[in-house]
Order: sequence, then structure tokens, then C-alpha cells
Amino acid sequence: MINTHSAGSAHRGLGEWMLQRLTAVYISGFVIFIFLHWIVTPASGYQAWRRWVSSIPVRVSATLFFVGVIVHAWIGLRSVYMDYLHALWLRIAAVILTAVMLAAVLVWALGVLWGSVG
Amino acid sequence: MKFSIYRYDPQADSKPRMRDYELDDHQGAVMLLDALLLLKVQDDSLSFRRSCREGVCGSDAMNINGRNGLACITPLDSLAQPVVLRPLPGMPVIRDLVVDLSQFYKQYREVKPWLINHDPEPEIERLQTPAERARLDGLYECILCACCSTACPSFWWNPDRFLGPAALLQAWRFLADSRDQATGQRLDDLEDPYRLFRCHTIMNCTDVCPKGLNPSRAIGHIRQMLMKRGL
Repeated sequence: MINTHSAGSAHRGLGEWMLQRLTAVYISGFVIFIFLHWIVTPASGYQAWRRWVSSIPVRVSATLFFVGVIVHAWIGLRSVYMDYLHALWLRIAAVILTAVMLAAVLVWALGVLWGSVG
Repeated sequence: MKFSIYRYDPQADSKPRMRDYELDDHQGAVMLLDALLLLKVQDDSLSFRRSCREGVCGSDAMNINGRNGLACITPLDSLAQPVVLRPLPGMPVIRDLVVDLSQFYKQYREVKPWLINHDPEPEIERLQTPAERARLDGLYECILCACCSTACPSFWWNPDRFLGPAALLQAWRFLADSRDQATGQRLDDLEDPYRLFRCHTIMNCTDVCPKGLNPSRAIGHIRQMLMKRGL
């Protein structure tokens, strides 16, 4: 039925919205950079590729990329849940599950990037 | 001309149904509303709202062949047959093509659609430069027909929390007004994950507006203003 009651404004939402745009810009910039790099200076063989990935600038920018993807996915998925999951318990469950999953993916990605490379 | 029209009388029908109508002689009818009035002569139980019959009052907004619009300014010869008429989507139906717009008006009131100015009232009027006045073009023309809000998926999913494009266009109309002094308060009231940020720039609102207005752009301006304030 029509709910004519309003709880007013939560005075937030702008930060998430801006972060979503910011991460989108970084992600697309990084992906374009990687593809251009592959085209312009293709790594010859696994060792060369590995050396390139383990250089500090690439590792730092890739770390930012993975953090960006996770943050972007987190804000985006939460937004989808806010749109479609109206039962509060369902939304909280989905948010917690997503947070655990994304955190695990981030730890895994950073582990690969900083742990075994070197 | 063939029509298929949504019929529902909550007192008599258990569920809505589509009923076919045929207009053999459309007696020079040009717009869809003219045809609807002729159909009402055939079947006086057919209910719809209409008033000015020239796209000014916004009463006869309905879903015409899957697209929201005003019957009075929709030319009959622009429509594929059978012309399928349904009430505005996502709204409670009172009867046939008549919907309950209480939620829509509630959202409109939420944005305080009036000038807030605490200065002593001037003797004649509050002046604006032509440039300041020009900022209101494309905003003040809204006739509140609800075509945009009821075409918006975000409004369908969260009608009780998202303000919808029509109300947000009016929110920007007063934020853009040089005479208004409640900018901060208005922005505070809008900064909310639901009230403003449920808009995902789907742009159905801009696509269907029968007055050619652009609520999407207005919402973009509000976000920019919030951003400038926050950064």
C-alpha cells in the first residue's frame, strides 16, 4: 500500500556516488594502460612478463586497480540490493555475504600480487 | 480504429482485464483524447481523467502503446493499431485509466516546491536578471502529469523512498532560483541514498516527458551542486 510516511534524509550517499565514479575512471584507465602496454611492448615469455609485473610501479597500480574493482563492485552490488531486496533481513544477509566474498577476493588478489611475486 | 483498453472496477471485478473497442466513424477526431471521448459515448462506464484537452493540465496521462504520454496531444495517426491503453504503470488503480497519485503528490510536497526567502518582502517584486530568470527555463514548465515518474524503474521499485524525477526536477527548479535562500537545507534534505541517489540515469523520464523537459539533467545538476558543496 502507499506509504506516505517519510523518515527524512540520511545525509549521505554522495561519497559512495563519487567513489563509484572515481573507481570507474581508474579501472578504465588502468585497463586501457595495460592493453596499450601489451600492444606496444609485448613481453617475450613468462620470465619477462613476471619481471614486468613485479616492478613496484606496476604492483602499486595493480593494487589500486584491485582495490578499485572491489570498492566499485561493493557499491554497485549494494545499490542493486537497495533497489530490489526490500526485506531488511534479506538485504542485510546479501550485504554481509557480498562483503565476505569481496574481502576474500581482495585478500587473494593482493596475496598473489605481493606474496609470490618477487 | 481498434483499441484495447485496460478495464478495472475494484467494486465489481476480481481482477483487471483488457477490453476491445472499435471506432467505425471517428468523426474527424485528431487526438487520442477525442477518440476516447467518442468511445465513452459508446460505453459510458469507461473512466479516464481529462480537463484542458491541450497538454496544459496533465490530467490525461496514460500508458499509450507501452509508452507514457498525454492522450490530448497524441495524434491518432501516430499510433499503431490496436491502440493499447493502460493506466500509468506502478500506481494503484482507482478505476480503468484513473490512478491514485497520492504518492506522487506526496513526493512533490517533500521537496518544498515553493520559494523560501527570509528577506522583508519588497514593495513590488523580487527582481532577477534576465540570465537568472533564464536558468528556470525547462524547469518551471512541468505540469505534474506523472508520465516521467511512473516510467522510472527506480520509482517502481522504491516509490516510498525515492523522490522520482518529477519531484527532483522541481527540487532543482528551486535550487536554481536566485531568489531562494534555502539552498543548504534543500541539499541536506536531498542527500540520501534513496531520495536522490536511487536515480541510475536510466533516462526514461526524459524520454517520455510530453513537455520535452529533462529531469535527468536536473538530477545531474543536483549531484554536481552536492559535489561542489562537499569537496
